[in-house]
Amino acid sequence: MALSQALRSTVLRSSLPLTCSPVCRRVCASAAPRASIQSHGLRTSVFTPSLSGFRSKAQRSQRVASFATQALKKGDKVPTDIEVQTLAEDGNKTRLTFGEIINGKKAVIVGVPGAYTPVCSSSHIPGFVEKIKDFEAKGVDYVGVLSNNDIFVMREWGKTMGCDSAKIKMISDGNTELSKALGMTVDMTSRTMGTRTRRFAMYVDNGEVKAVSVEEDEVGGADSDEKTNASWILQQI
Amino acid sequence: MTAFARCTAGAIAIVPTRRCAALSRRGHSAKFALAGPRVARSAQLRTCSVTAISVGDKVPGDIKFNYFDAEGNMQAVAVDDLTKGKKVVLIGVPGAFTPTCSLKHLPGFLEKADELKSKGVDTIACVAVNDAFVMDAWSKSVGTDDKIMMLADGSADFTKAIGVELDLSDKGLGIRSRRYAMLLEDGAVKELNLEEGGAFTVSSADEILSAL
Repeated sequence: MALSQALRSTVLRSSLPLTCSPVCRRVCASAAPRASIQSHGLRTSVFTPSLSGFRSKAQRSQRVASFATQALKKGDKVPTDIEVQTLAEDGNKTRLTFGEIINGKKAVIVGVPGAYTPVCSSSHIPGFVEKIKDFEAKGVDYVGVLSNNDIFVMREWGKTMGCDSAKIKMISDGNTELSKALGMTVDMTSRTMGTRTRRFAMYVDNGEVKAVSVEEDEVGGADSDEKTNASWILQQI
Repeated sequence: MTAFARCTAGAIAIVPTRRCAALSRRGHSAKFALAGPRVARSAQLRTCSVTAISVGDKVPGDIKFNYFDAEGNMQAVAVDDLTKGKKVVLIGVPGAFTPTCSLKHLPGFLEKADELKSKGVDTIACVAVNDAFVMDAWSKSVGTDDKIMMLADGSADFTKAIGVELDLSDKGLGIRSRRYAMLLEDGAVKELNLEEGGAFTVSSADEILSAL
């Protein structure tokens, strides 16, 4: 009974003029279905136009769910065609795709919300700098720090934390494209920082995610690196 | 919506209607104009031509900047509180830690800071579209101490409100500010040296000094 009612309300919604707002359509759909639809006895297919604003509730909640599960999981392949900026051997900035950076390597990628912010600078990244020998011993070829600060800021930040000497690389996702593709962004507008990279740590072997951990709290791990610190990821390798 | 800022030499900015209204309320010369038949069809997409701030305009007083004080606490300051009844030199830079900003533009003002203050300038402040953490780190790196206030316009609110935004997305920097040096008296622009983009030609400390 409930299912057929849902079907009728879906059809009713799709039969409303296209200029109706979604609110209007929802209000109309919640009214009792018109007798004419039932009396036709037509086999109506459940079709809602797929223009935005006209999706059914089920489709909308599916869309929300797809965002929530979009973060990369173990076994996924990383997106390889997104351009980011990093530093070449001579210290100058260079543009490469993410695929070119980690191609054929065992790579540990660490995502941070912001350069020079407290947790990133005082515990998260220093943890990786300290343990770099342990990573090398386990066969890791590349350790990279990802943030959506620009490459100039990342370069100086890396120097202050000793990433140069530890051979930890800085990856600047200036337009936040890579963070979005990895499903690891957080809205920090309330802290006047706009959209940032969520704190995460990921171990990628030849383009495939072998281990990943993300800070799932509201502020994207701005205040803690419990699940994503160097010790944790070291254990996963 | 893309926008080209209208500099004093003249280019047209295309902004949504509501922003046009907000800007003309703030005293910029913003006029509604229809960009063409295709755009005119949708009421929302009417364009308006916006000029960047110019001499004689008042800066928008209610916009806030973030910064870190001497004790290391994050503070917010409204433009009004910063500029009311004071002589303020406002420096705009595309980005903290970028080469020209760090090596020429800001150090130039740092050198001449005492001279500017002796000529009656109350506050020298530098604005960039970076967050407060980055601005604080940059100020320590350049060594501005308490001579220059480093203000973070993290969401580019102030920069867009005065019409000096610069789209550097293709360089991976997003929306930034054009380079400028501005002399404000009680919130009104007395002298404005605005570069086209990030060039460094007219926006140095010397130009501002000669205006005092």
